[in-house]
Formats: sequence, C-alpha cells, structure tokens
Amino acid sequence: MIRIEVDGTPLEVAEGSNLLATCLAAGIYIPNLCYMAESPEPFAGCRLCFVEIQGQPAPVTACTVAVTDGMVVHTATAPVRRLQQSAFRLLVSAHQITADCPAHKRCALQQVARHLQMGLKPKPLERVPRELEIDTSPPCFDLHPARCVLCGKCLRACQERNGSSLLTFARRGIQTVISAQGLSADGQEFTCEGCLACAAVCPVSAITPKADSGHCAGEGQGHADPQAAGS
Amino acid sequence: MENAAGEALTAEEGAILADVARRLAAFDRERANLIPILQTIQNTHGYLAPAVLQLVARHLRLPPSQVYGVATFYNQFRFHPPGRNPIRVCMGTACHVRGGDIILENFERKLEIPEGQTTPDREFSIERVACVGCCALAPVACVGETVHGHMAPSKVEGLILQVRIARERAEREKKDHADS
Ligand code: SF4
Ligand code: FES
Ligand code: FES
Repeated sequence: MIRIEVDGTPLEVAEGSNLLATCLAAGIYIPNLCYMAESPEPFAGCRLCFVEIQGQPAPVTACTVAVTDGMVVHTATAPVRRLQQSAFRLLVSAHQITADCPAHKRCALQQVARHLQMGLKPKPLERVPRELEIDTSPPCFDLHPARCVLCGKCLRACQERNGSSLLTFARRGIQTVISAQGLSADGQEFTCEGCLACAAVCPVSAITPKADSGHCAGEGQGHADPQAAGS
Repeated sequence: MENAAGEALTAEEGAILADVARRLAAFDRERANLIPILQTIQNTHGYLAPAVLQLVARHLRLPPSQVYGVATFYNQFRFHPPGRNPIRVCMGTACHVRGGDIILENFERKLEIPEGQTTPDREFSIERVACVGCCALAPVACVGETVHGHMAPSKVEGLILQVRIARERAEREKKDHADS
C-alpha cells in the first residue's frame, strides 16, 4: 500500500491503482462519463475527469493515471474547473434534453452539472441538439442517438462480455453516432445476446430496454471469435 | 433473397449481390482486406448497399456493425446509388469562403435530399467535394461533367431545370423516332 493525498485527505491505496477509481471509491467525486473499470484501456474521451497533480505542469485526466507513492492531487482548482466546464458545455450543447427522458434525476449529465454548478443549457454556446431518429430495430432495446454522449461504454461493455461489439460508432466528427447497424437476433455468427449490458452501462439512457424485453435473458455464449473462426 | 430491410430484392440489387459474392471469393478472410474490398465494390457499382455490407461482414467474419462503422467513417464511400447527374458542390477553402455551403443548401432544398443521397427518380445525387481546381471561379458546383463557376443560389433552380428539360426533350425525340 502507498499513501496519496487528494484535496488534503490522506488515502491508503494499492500501488498502481487507477486514480479516478481510487477517488470515487473514497467518496471523492470527480466528474466522469466514459471511465469503465472493466475496460483494459481507458477511453479518455469525455474530458471531464481532469485533476491537478502536484509537480505536473498542466491538469491531467484522472482516468489515465496510475497512483504513485506520495502523489498530491487537487480535484477542484480553477484550471481544472475551466477545462471541465468547457467540455461539459460542448457536450450538452448537442445533447437532446426532453421532459420525458427516463434518465431524468439519475442522469450522469445532471450529476456533472450539479457538481460543476452549471445548468444543462449553459451559455454562451448555441444549442444544436442533433435531430436523430430513435432506432427501434434492435431486438431487445431501442437506441436514442440524440441522447448519446459518445462515451463508448456500451461498445466496450458488449466487447468485454461477448468478444466483439455489435454496437458501433458510425460516421465521423460532429456527425458521429452510436449505431446498431446490422444487429441481428437470428442465430448468425454475430447475434445480439440480449444481455442488455449496453443499456445497463449507458450513463444517459440512450439505450433503453424494450418494454417486452423479458425474453432477453442474455445467457448467450458470446459472439463467434472472428480470429478463431479462421478461414 | 431479401435485402437488409426485409424487402424482396430488385433485379438490380440481385445482380450487384451476385457480382459482389463472386469478387469476394478473391479476397482472403482477413480484416485488413476490408477497405480494399469496399473500394472494389464502390468502384464497380458506385455505392455500397446495406445487403452488400452484410455480405462483406459475413465473408470477413466481422460483426456487420464494424463494417458499417468503417464504411461510414470515410467520405469516399456512398450508400445510395449515384444519380445520372451527380451534383458535386465544392467545399474547398476558396469556395467555402465564397459561400459554398449556401449553394449546397440550395441544391439540397431544391432536390429535397440531403447531401450524400439520390433523388427517388435517380436523376440527381448530391455530394460535397474538396477543391475542384478552379478556385478563381468560386463558388463552384459540377453537374455531371460540367463545371459551373460563380455559382449563386439563384442559379441552382435553373441548372436543375436545364437537366430536366434536356431529358424530357431526349425522351420526346426518342418517342417521335419510334413513332415515325
Ligand atoms: S449509447 Fe450510452 S453508453 Fe453508448 S456511447 Fe452513447 S452515451 Fe455512451
Ligand atoms: S472519465 Fe476520464 S476522460 Fe472520461
Ligand atoms: S476551392 Fe472550390 S474550386 Fe478550389
């Protein structure tokens, strides 16, 4: 075990632990949307989990840092907040906000907003919510791309559990969307297992289980391994 | 056979699928072959139909979503059959500065399709391209092989009409010819 200090609180942690996970476990909240403990590589795409580490010239993303002995961390300095607020502004400027959103009150975005003391429609950015249709074609869930914050958790959850992801990011740049293109339930090599791991992990309810998803027990064996399948 | 939407295949789609299946046989089942395969199909057929992407995924033993993800990432791939008169609106630096986006928007509005798609009668498709090489004429749009410089929103409707009229005339002449 080694000792680190976060916002003046001393913590004893195992060497090499992930800094973001360590802080969250100790009850010190750092805004984050894309971190997943199960994922081998941090995605570091949401740019919300910035902290300052003494001795480092600029804030760093906590989800990509392994703790070392004597590390001194500050989670709420002005430079940290500036970065977090910009990232959050950009995120919600394109996020669809509706009164009937099932994530209301338990949405990760609302939690981040509270923590940063910002509204969900912060100035000065123009709001350009994306007009994207709900995709009801997947067998066990519906996809609401207009709510998606592109954190990639669902892809990684499917990948971790089933060996390859049936969800994907399609298109590019500002057009990027989460997509379930070609996802099937018909016993092909790559069939949706109905495990709903994607819906469970989505921080903003962009993936919602179908009302009649009771049969989606998710006891599948995982997808065929494309490598092992050989030729 | 059915296409991805579960509709019966048109003869055209069926022919494409058969040709793609034949071409796929020449490629090893390696994911590194994904882009060369997509390029070959696009070069021969002008676009990638959903059923074609499924076939490619099957061949490479990749989840269909991953094939779709790669294909949609690159601008060079189209997902709709090209129109007889493809419209290419230049979005290069010079044309951008001179309001190329307004020209594009006008084409989209007049033809009632977004960029990347084809009108239902297959007459027009719209694409955005980078510099066509005649920046002095910015903003530029190409209809088929013809380059139109100094584009203005007011010229868009005229260009579309020209094509439609030329087509109607050609059809009438063909008909007269057949009648006589
Ligand atoms: S659907 Fe949800 S989990 Fe998947 S990328 Fe979008 S926000 Fe993240
Ligand atoms: S949690 Fe670290 S960048 Fe998203
Ligand atoms: S930028 Fe349009 S022709 Fe060069």
